[in-house]
Amino acid sequence: MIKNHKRILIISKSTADISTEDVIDWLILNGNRPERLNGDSIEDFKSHGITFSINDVGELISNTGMTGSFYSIWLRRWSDYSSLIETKRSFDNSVSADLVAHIISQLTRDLSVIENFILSNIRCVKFLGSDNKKHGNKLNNLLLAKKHNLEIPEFILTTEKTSLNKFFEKYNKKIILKDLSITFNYDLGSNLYTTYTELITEEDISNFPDKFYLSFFQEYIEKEYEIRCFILETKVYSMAIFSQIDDKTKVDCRKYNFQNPNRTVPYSLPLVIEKQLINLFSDLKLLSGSVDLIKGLDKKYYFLEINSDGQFGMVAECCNYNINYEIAQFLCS
Amino acid sequence: MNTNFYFTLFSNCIPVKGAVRSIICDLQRGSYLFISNDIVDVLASCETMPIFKILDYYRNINEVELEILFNQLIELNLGHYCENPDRFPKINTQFNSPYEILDCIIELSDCNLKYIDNIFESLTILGCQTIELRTYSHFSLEKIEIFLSKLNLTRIRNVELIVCHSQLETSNAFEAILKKYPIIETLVIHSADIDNCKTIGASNLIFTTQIITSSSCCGNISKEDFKINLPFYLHGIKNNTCLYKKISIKANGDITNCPSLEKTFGSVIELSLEQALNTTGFKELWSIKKDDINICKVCEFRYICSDCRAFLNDVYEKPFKCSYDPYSPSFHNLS
Ligand code: SF4
Repeated sequence: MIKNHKRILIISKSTADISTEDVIDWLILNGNRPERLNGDSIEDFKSHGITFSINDVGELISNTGMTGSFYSIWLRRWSDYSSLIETKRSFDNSVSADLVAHIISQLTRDLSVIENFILSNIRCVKFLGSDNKKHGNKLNNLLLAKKHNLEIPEFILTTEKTSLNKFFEKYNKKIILKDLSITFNYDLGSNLYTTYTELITEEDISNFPDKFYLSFFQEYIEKEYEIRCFILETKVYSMAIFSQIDDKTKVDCRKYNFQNPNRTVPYSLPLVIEKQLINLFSDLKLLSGSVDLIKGLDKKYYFLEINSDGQFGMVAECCNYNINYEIAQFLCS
Repeated sequence: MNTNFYFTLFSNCIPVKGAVRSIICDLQRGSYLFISNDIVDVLASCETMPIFKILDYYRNINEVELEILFNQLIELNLGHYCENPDRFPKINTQFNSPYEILDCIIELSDCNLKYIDNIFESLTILGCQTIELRTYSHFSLEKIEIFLSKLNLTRIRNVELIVCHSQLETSNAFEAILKKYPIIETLVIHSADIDNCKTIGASNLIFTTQIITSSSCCGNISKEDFKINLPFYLHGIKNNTCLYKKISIKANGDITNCPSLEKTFGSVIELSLEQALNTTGFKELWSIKKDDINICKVCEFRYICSDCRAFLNDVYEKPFKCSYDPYSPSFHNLS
């Protein structure tokens, strides 16, 4: 075993993240001892005492062990602030729901400032991963993809029913309405509501008011299958998802069919498309991330979106791609 | 049917040919389908020839018959038509894992309890992921809990606990164990009065009337124990699915490949698991794959069968406790 004393920091959400565990195990096998910070432990102040301060030479120091400079850092995921739900529940009925909502959104903003501050003040030679806030703008990414000659489904962003109608007609009455940021989840205790990508019907539109909140509509692409890629530096790992066969998952494959899961198999993208994706990533200064594509019935490949902190576990597992090992190699060599 | 197209099985639906019939292993959904050996040949040709060439090559098959076959396979979601099969590469069969040991079986005993810290430290170094803890006769829950309480200090992710039913413990006590240690995936209580199965959180609690008095109760090969998944298949084509990266510790502390095998490679009393693992011969049986074993090598179940290298006369022989005959092809009752 080669003993390696490079300092490697892995930032993840919680200890239960399997992809993180696997990468750490590869690092351990190669004689490394990665250090780890879980986003959740920053929020979970009750069980982790944390203090950050600035030393004489203006460096960030803390008692979490993540002070100083690292050879490499992998930002797998930061916390999603889910512990704030606990905080929310801790208020009793004497506090108005309105005030609780205000406090929670204030806390969220503050935590995000702290997150930003920490991430921009730990030093390293190699950094992998990204911050969805920087690279997660769907609209920007669509434009940039087009600039790199990738096909994209046409879209409009409008407040006008008249414009929507024109767009609807232009794309043969097949358009979809999409979330612009993250998926909207609303936990009602007994039920979890979440937004899915849905086809808009003529009836839907007739029920819309003449003016509405600025919304994002996209041309619906008839697809042969979907493709999910994980990109690491210049390597593209692709997986085809046959969601078209199943009506339940036709428009949005997150509506997973558990009895009969969508077929997921290794896929090999045409080299030109791979090259375009790699160029797009380098334009975004992204070393790794996931991309969603559609192979249309018109045989074209459509770029849909980038998930810069995208999960790659499923792609790696279904296709037997050794992504965990490659990430570990990146971090230690 | 567009005969310029190709028909391909999905790359995780893999045909395995047997002596007289074949199966398609659906490694994604964990099921299999019987098909004839002739069809497997046709499907193999389909990988490299477009449909019109297939029709040309197999003069005895007409287009209608072929289309019916393909549509049946599509209906079963096992394959698809495609224009360019190069877009759908086969699954890479290189299976890499950062762990030196994947499975460990420990017979719970006072001796092993005494060396528990050494054992778990070794398992952590070796990266062990799955552990099975067994008792053949009564062993107190307090002592079992000492084993369980150490698990969170290791890298073990899956735990199966097999204990003997005794008058001293109530069903509630077992449920409490599962609630306290959610890392236990399955808790089997053998020698029980009833057969019963329930879930506690994400864990299974199984009461069985089956009596497991010693390691010789292991090694049965049955359809129920087939494992149909990608990692198992990938292990099976290169290594022994029963013993590869497995280590066992018997009640007396002996370190073996499996509790049912006599040969010991030392004892936890005097050496570490890493040392035992590096003793000559420890990994000898790891490489005996199904394709090397007589009879098994022509069995269509060979890559989903659990195998057993303990109960046999010769290490290249089919397991004693398998009643399947791939030539007939049927399961016979063991007398
Ligand atoms: S013949 Fe061999 S491969 Fe087939 S079921 Fe029996 S043990 Fe398994």
